[in-house]
Amino acid sequence: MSSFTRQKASSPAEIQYARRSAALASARQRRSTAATMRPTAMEFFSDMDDQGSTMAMDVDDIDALEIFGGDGVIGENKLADLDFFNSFPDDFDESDMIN
Amino acid sequence: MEALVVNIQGLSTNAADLSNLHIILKQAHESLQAESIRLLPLLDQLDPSLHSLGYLYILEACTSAALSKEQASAVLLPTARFINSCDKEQIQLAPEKFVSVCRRFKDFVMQLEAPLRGVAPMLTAIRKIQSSSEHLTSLHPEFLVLCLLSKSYKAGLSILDEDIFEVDQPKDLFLYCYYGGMICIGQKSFRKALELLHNVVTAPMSVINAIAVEAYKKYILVSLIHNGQFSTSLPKYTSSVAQRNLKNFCQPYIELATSYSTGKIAEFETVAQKHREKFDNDNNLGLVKQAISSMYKRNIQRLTQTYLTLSLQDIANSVQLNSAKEAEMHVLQMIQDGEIFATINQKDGMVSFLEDPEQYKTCQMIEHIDSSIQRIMALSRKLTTMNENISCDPMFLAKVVGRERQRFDFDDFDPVPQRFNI
Repeated sequence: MSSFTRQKASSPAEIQYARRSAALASARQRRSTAATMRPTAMEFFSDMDDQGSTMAMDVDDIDALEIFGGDGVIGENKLADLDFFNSFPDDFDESDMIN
Repeated sequence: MEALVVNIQGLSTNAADLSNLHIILKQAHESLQAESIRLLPLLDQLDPSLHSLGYLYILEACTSAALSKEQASAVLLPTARFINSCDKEQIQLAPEKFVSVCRRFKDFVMQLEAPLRGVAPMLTAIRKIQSSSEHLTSLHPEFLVLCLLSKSYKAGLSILDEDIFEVDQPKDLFLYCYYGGMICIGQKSFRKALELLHNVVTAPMSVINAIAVEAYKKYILVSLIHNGQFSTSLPKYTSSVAQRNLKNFCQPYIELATSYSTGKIAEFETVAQKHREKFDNDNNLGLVKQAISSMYKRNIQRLTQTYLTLSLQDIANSVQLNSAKEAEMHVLQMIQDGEIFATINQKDGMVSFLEDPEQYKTCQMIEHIDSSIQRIMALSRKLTTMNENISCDPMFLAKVVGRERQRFDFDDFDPVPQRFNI
């Protein structure tokens, strides 16, 4: 790794230092082959994925099929619909498309 | 049979006549079934668009028995023409027969190894049997099978964009979402694929379903490809049967996902090789290879969070590629796919990572956000209506109230509080 590599900044002072360094580095990079660090961006929003809604729907504890006439678990080791059609050629191999 | 043909020709003009015709056809059902393929010439005397109900009964009888390849070939074209030109109101008088004819049509095109010939007629059949675009019919999965076999992924996408709120049979939903997920994988619509496969995995089931098991395997792999991660925990609304058992049927895939989380390509490749035969037998080896490629991409994406510029050689060393050239190919592909924003200076071999140019303030973006909000509001209204309907369902009330009653004594229902007696 290049000798100009730096760790990501964390405190405001460090962030400012990193930004100044980055600006200087980008001026230098026209002449050198040094890697340039990206200033740390403030994370204004945490990852929104998989967060529960503030208006979460009540989920019944009762298994839905128990309500609508299901008798619950019949046999956990038996697979239903085992004979469903699934004989497709593997069309998702893209290794022959690389390069 | 000639008399039957005359009846069909004479009683297909108005609703009252059709009602009488239907009774006659039902009475002739057994004798039609006995004749089977010998009835084929009778179809020449009928117009599929005018005499749809009668044509349907005869066609269904023609195709009821197992047919040779030559016989299947002979009946294929009349069936396709019938599907295209039949009268929707007439065939909806005998929907189960129409579905039966279409299913056999699918069997014939597969028997003749010509699935592409069935794609357009099957889509037409769906439109004729659907009560609305929200209605999932038994023909939806059949159509998607033909799309998959003929690699007509775009044709399959046309029905996957429709929101489904009405299902005839639970198995139809499992198959529709599973095959639909595969269609989306073929089109690299991984987000939509995950949504569909997720529906299979979390659908209500009292017995662990083979379709859900296969969907879960693909769900794991597509999660790695699209999100770069996978969590074994399933949502609370997943059936207890699936919560307890799905992982047991997919252990090699869970092991693969665990190795992916280390970020070490060598380790991931070792696990992939260890279970290669299993992945191959499941026809998932292609997806496993895509997951390996995605690791390189994920590692390159991680670099963009740390560096503004980096040499191709440094990128190759960091993500364990063989050469700067290979790194360049990966970076170029990622730029093309919109997975990173960067420029490559080929003179000095430096990659400059750029910010996402999307400002989220164009008219197009505003329209996109607005339409998403409108869609979610409509879904919310629909969900509220469904919740109200289920709350009034007698079967639901009987079960729920019955359970509640078991918790309380008789005295709990006494409206007169004893302690207030003077």
